[in-house]
Amino acid sequence: MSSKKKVITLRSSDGEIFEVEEAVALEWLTIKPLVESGCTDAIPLPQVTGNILAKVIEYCKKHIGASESEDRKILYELESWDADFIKVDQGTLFDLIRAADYLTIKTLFEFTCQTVADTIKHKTIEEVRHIFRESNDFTPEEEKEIRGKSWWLQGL
Amino acid sequence: MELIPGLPDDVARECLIRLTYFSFAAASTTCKQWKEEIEAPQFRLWRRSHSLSQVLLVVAQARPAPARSPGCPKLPHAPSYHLAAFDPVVGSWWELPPPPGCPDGIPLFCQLAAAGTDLVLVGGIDPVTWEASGSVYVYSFVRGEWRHGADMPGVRRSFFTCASDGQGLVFVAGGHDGEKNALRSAMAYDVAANRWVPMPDMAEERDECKGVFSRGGFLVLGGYPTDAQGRFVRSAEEFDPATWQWRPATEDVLGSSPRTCTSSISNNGDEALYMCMDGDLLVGSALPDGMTRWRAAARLPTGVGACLAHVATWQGKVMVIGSARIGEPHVGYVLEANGTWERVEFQEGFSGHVQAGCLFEI
Repeated sequence: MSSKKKVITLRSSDGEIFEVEEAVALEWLTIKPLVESGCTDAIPLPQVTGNILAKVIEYCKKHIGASESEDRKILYELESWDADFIKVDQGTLFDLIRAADYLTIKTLFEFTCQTVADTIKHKTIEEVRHIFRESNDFTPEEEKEIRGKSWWLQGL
Repeated sequence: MELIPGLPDDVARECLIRLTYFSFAAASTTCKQWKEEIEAPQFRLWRRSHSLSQVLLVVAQARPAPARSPGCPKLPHAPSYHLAAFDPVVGSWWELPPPPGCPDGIPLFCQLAAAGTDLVLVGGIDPVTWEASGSVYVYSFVRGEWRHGADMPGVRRSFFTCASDGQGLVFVAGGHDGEKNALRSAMAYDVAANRWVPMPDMAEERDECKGVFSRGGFLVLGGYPTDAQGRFVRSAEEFDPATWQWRPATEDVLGSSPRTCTSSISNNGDEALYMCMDGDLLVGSALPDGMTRWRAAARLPTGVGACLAHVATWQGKVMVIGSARIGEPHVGYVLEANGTWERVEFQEGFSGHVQAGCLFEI
């Protein structure tokens, strides 16, 4: 066996070419069969743009092997790296979720979905509506009733 | 309309099921679609199947006694109880808002049941009039609000037992009436319909019995009849909600109070019962013939030696709450996999006596 690590070539929707180690690509269940079949051509990813694919690769390279570590120091560093990594605008966050969903990357998908859920924590209802572009479809009476009764919503 | 504009609905749902339960109310008030999503029973099932459920222990707990001023004659202090919730992952307590009309404390010796995402508080002794109460209060962890339930019908019952099937039914059985006559009767509260449903009587009178919901049935252990006060019987009976009938249950439980009995699903999916007796933590598992066999799993820690108040189990873990001496602050001990107990100190204001409790997986 060659000691050189095998590299897989990927092509984004906007034609950018990326190279990733085989071990990273094998974590992406959607393309895993192609990788395992020994495909040497660039694998086209028509639903992911180059700038998002670059982020996805950056995340997966950092996480490979590290997520399973039991070393608290490594896990702590990874957590703080993740926190910096995900400081992106909402458009990018949603693009990352859709890419993780399309490529079936479990760790990134769960992490990005959790990030959306955490966005709602400690926010007022108006802030949540604004962030998620949700329109208020309660009548003023309905909303007043819900807010007046709910202990969780007092002060929000 | 998409659940979250910009994301497919199945993906948006993956985001919503990752909310913490204390964000449910704010999220449900955002728009009607989110409200429907979060209030659907399926929402809780998804959280559970994705291992995203949050565990929460809710207890009826004595408030710390007010400090007595020096020189003041010793007055008997009637304890006031409040509802407190413990998050075992974070390791912290918080206080629930009081039920409507109970600003000075909840009924003493009330029973608590976890019916899905609803906390159901049944009966107890009115802290002001000392009358047995038939009141029912329901707290929704989704909406963050209390509502009055339909009163428990029939005789004013105290020292009964109460347990939920974890969905929408709360079973009540045994106890005694105003003349201290032990009761055979039982009934069920349908939380969603806010309605009490009659049940057939048990075969035996069971005052101070203990009921748990286990393996699809409501299992009632021990208790004692009117003419044998405090002498706990060794028998048990089980109610099958499918046939709406009682049947005798067999188990080798010892003849003392079964009040600490609780049921839990362990990590390998087996349902087991736990109970403390004579300084031991017992684990009861079902034999193929349906009999429950008890065995000692661990000696209880000396820190709960004199006053063992409550046993809580979740996802294969066991926590006992109590104190080394009567009247001392309560602490918790969690049983580790290696058989040792790890002490859990409770924050100030949450170390009072625990009188009843129930466990949520929300």
